Amino acid sequence: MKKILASALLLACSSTTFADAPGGPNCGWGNMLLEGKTGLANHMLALTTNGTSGNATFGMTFGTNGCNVEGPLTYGGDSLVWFDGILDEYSTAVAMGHGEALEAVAAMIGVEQTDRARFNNVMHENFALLFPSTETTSQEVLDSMVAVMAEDEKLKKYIS
Amino acid sequence: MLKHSIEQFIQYVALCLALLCSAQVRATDASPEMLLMQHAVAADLHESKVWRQLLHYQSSSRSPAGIESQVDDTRFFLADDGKFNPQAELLATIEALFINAAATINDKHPRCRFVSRETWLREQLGLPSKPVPEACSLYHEWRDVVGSHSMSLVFPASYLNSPSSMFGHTLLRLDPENIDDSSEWLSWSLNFAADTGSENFSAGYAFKGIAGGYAGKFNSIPYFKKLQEYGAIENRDIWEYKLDFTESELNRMLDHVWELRDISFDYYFFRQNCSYRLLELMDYARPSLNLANEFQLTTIPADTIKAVARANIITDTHYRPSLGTGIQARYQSLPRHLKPWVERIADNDQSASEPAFQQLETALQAKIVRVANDLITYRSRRTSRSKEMASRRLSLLKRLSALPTTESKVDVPSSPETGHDTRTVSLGVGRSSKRDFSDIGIRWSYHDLLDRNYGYLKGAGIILGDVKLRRYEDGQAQLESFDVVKLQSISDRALIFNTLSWNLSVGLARDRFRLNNRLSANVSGSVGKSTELLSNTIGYALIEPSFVQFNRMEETFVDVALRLGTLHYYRGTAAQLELKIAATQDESARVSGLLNLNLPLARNHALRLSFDRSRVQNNSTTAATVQYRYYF
Repeated sequence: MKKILASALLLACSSTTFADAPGGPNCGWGNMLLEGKTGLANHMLALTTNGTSGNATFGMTFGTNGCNVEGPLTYGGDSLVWFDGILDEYSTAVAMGHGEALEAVAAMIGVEQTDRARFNNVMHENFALLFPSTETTSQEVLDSMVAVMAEDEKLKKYIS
Repeated sequence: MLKHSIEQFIQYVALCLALLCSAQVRATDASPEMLLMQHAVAADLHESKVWRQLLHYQSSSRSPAGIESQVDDTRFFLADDGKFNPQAELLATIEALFINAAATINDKHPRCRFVSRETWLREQLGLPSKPVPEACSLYHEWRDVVGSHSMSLVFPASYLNSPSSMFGHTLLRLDPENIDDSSEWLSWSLNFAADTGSENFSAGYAFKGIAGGYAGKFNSIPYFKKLQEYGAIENRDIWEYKLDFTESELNRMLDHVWELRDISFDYYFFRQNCSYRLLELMDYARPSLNLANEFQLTTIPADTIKAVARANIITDTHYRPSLGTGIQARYQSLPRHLKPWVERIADNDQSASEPAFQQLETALQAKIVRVANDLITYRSRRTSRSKEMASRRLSLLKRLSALPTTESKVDVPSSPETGHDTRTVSLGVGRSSKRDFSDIGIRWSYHDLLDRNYGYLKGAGIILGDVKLRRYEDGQAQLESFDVVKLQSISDRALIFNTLSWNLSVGLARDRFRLNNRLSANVSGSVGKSTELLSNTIGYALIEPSFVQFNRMEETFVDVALRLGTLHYYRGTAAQLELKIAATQDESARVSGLLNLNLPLARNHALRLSFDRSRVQNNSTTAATVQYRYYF
């Protein structure tokens, strides 16, 4: 995540783009869907298998919600795919100024406990900047995060 | 070739043993490889508990040797008959790892695939321990991303309007080191489930799940995906039980899980299911545990939580309300006159600009906008959001970001392991149509609308295999009723969630007004609406068609009933009052009044009182019973 933030910073400066950035076209945050199943048939299936259908066993790669994207998963390290997967929850948490998605992103970036409240506040205050439209992609959200963190005395150390 | 060398070896061992008996042989006659195998055989390693655990051997009547691995996947065995022959598998493993190991190591090499077997065999055979080769890149990649700092047992509880989910499900959560910095979203899940592939639903589905037609596999995906699946989509509250496993125990366990990657097990819904496999893993991680053995016939996920609690390995319990639970709780905490704002704003975000709303305290505004936003999220959770809905949501979030918000926690209900046990026996006495009787009942599973609902979902019931035998004072004894399956869902959330309430019942029963109280086969289903009338009181109205079939075709009755009732919950006590008006095929209308009261005495003991009065034309009957129930 830190590396992604760093490259996002580079991006912001140099206007190059990722060749195959997760997110992709028509993958704006506002349109994401959660994959789910409903109906009696699936209740019955859930009853007898405890299972949801799926072939993935050890998911080293995973697609994002509603967007047909798979990226290599270097979890616990840097992953834009991961960020993409929680963007919906993240937007709500940023709007409220608290929530697990905010904590998770802060932990991913490595924001220390002492700076967490600050991080939450800065994100909260800049909601409109981070999520200007329903078409905003995770890459754009990251770019904006980098920009606002760079402006903040306490938070800029996490993106350098 | 492998088989051949094993046969050769067995002959060799036989020869050695013969020679040993005559005290003629010297150890140095054997090659070092043969010595290794000889040692393994002499130590009966194939009979050790760890070897059984690693290969998932269990006693079996299907196999001539009386033993069989529950793994159903040839890739898991190195010997041709490894599934049934622990010794052959042991020797083949030794050969593949230490004797005829391929020189080039890649991900397919036995040393990369069977890392736990190698570690254990090295210990047992006195070989120097070696780390897993660097060339096993998939292994290292997986072990690097899946944390082994701590582990939780995760129980997604039943969900609204789906009694079938009441059995629950369990999975494991594995945490990275920074878990204490509230980063559960960075953890990984480990889940055992039937692999139904992309097959579409068919009538055989459920049967296949029960009979073992599916392969069960472990899967491991980021934990937040599971949170989204259960918490936001399926709307199930999630209980997380932090367990006291150490990092080295978890490393041991994960090494073995790696061996099970992509490997198919036989999957049986009732016993060898999600929860059973996880118990086995815990037993393997800590040899002093013996959890899986407690479940010989059935493994009900909620019961495994109780077993883990009894084993005293839970250090912390954490409750995660689902999206729906959060909405319901926050909605209920709003002052009554403000509640309508939630739906108005969810339907049209411009309503939040009205002066009447703007005049409210900002903290209240924030609360209402939050619930409205959650409601939109909830309503669009299964579908792609329309552009219109997405922008409505964005506009609500913008409003929310401009308001001061404070965290509002949802009350934690009583946890599943505090619930009553799942099998029931009952003894009752009563009087029906002026005859006294006594009843004996046994219910295989699980929970009905009136059983003490601590740890269970309010207004939901699932009953499987409920038999009642009755003996009248004059000595007549009979099967009174047999519920094969009965599902009940009377939701108190209809107020905001707009869900249907329903019942489904299949079984045998008697009817005092029909054919001299003979036994008949009954199928009935009902749908309707329910709503919370007062706190802890649910009112419902259901339409219920039913089919009653006696032994000959001409004796089939189709009835339709209207059921109006209320359910009251007060602490653990539950009461049901119902008026049932039925239009029956053979008579004029029948009107019945029912009263049921369940008084829990302790976690596993309860008294139940039932009263039923029915009237058909001028003919009326009354029945009353007092019943003692014991759960085990």
